[in-house]
Amino acid sequence: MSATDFPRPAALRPRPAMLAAPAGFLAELWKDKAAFAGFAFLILVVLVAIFAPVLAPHDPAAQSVLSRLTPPAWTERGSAAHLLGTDMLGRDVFSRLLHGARASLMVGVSVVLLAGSAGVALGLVAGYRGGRTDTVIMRVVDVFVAFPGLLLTLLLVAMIGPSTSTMIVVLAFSNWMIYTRLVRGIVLSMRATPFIEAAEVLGCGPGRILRLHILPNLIPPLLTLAILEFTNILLAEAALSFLGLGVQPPDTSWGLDIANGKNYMLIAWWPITFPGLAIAATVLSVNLFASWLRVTTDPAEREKRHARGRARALRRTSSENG
Amino acid sequence: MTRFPGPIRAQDPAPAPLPLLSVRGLAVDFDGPRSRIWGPPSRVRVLEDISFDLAPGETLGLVGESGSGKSTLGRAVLRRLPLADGRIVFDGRDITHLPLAERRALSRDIQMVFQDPYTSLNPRMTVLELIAEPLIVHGLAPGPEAARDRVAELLRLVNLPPENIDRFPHGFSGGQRQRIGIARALALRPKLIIADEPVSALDVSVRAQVVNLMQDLQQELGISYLFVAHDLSIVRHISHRIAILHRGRMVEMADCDTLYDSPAHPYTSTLLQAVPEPDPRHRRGTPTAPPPAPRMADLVMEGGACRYCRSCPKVADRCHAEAPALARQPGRDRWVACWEA
Repeated sequence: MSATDFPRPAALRPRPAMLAAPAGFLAELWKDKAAFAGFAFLILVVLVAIFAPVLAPHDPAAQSVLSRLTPPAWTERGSAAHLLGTDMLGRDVFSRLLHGARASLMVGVSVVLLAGSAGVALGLVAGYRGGRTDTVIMRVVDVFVAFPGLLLTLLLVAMIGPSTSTMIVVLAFSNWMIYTRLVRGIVLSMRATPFIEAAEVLGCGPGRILRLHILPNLIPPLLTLAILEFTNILLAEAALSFLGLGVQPPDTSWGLDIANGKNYMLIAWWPITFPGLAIAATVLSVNLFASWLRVTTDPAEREKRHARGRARALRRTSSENG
Repeated sequence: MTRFPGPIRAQDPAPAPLPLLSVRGLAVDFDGPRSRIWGPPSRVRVLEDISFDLAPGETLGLVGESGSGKSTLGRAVLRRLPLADGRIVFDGRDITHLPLAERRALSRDIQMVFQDPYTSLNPRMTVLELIAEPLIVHGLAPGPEAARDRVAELLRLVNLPPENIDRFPHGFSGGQRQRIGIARALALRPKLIIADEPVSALDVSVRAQVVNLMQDLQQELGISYLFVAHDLSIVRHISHRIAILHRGRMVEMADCDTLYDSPAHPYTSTLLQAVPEPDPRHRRGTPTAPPPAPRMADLVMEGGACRYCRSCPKVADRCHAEAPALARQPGRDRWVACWEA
């Protein structure tokens, strides 16, 4: 077998595309249309979150009792002033949707990052050091898991006082354990694989082994877990905000709007449907993009995907010619 | 080559040339079953009274059935396992008790080639990163790119085309991966390589290539090998001397021809009889039944008896009472641990 028989395609360059030029990254992403759509939607949501005050046609907190529960513009009783209608206090649903993206994304991303990095770090240490360190860390995890999450959250918020940043810290505080358990389990089994022993025999220290040999091989399960957690956090944020312990009015979030709108669900579908759709679309986009990312960071999977793409292209040209 | 293997005893002449590695009375314990649920684990002696010398540029083959402790011996020499007893001197330096940092530094001189080339290479590192890693870890290169020329040179040394330098290991065959593993071990120019069944996971057709490569490298670079294997024909091909392990004890050690042509220990003969003979006209007689595999409980309970006495065809009363030590046969370069030999 020789590597030189085949022309080396761009996708087989040694480093994952994220570290190469962004142009290469986009070119590779473009080949997977679903992932590209997901990525584009995520960029859109981020831009909307940043520029919400400029884009929103109304003040998201401005109430107008006279025009409450106006249906979306394209329905019979709709008004052109309110594209997606108004909620039970007469607030513009579209403007709230744009502003809500800010809190939802902020909370979701920062909780996953905060809880994820703390949980992963502890899991790495517990799994790699083993022995007493492992026992202590895992017993702490057990205590946290056994403690009712909502009660812990309520306690902490009551102590610190409700605000968006409090909610981020509190949600991270009650959600880091799952990362620790997952990572510790994988590290334990990975410690026994020969390539870790090989690294130790070569003289690598624990820091290098964790950083270069264990962490990169944890990417696929961690990506999957982080996405699932992201969805959970959006919903947890909604629950907390609904209880008045999270995002504080006049600020808003998608979760808060759903929570508020659900009492009127039977007479007005729009205040709850649009933020719900926004959450669903965001989570779907994250999923599509993350599954592409998972393949991209795995050298073997990446080459297989590239080969499949080439085979498809060849079939297409041959059927066109014939 | 003059060799003085085996335990040093009062009547031995002083070893003439300095051996690269000399092991004396090495013993390793593992945790065994507990007698009570909360009680301390019992200790199982998995290696006992192992002594040998290894000269520079020499290959010592370690042979034994599974569970005989041959891989454990390799890891004990690498100082990856705590020793229960004994002494290891490497290159004139006592490495029996080494702090962790010095043990890491020792990896410049003692390297290892692993059994399974499919799991011993990190799938997310390129060939360049894999082979450059030892150089980086030991401060010989700041990063993979700086080591590119060295790595290309190492790839040529193990007969792999250097164009493959930026590829990932999953694109290579087993034999090619094992060459990458060997290049990795060679990067630091070690004096001793512990090869833990380096070809047993490979296809039969490429075994010879890898073994020949290892021999060529030995001649070129003067490396010593501790070659662990259970394939007797390959061991004979590569080794200068062979040591037979049985249940954690060395039962016989001699140069290849002596050992294969006239085995002295009854276990060695049984082992050799188990090798299939490719020529049907050439019969060696029916092999005796293979000895039953050791159970951990047996190892715990065994006291002073010879560990082979239950399966030994030549067993005598003395074998049940006292275990024979590895001793040099008078006038020969052969070491046997048997009362009857």
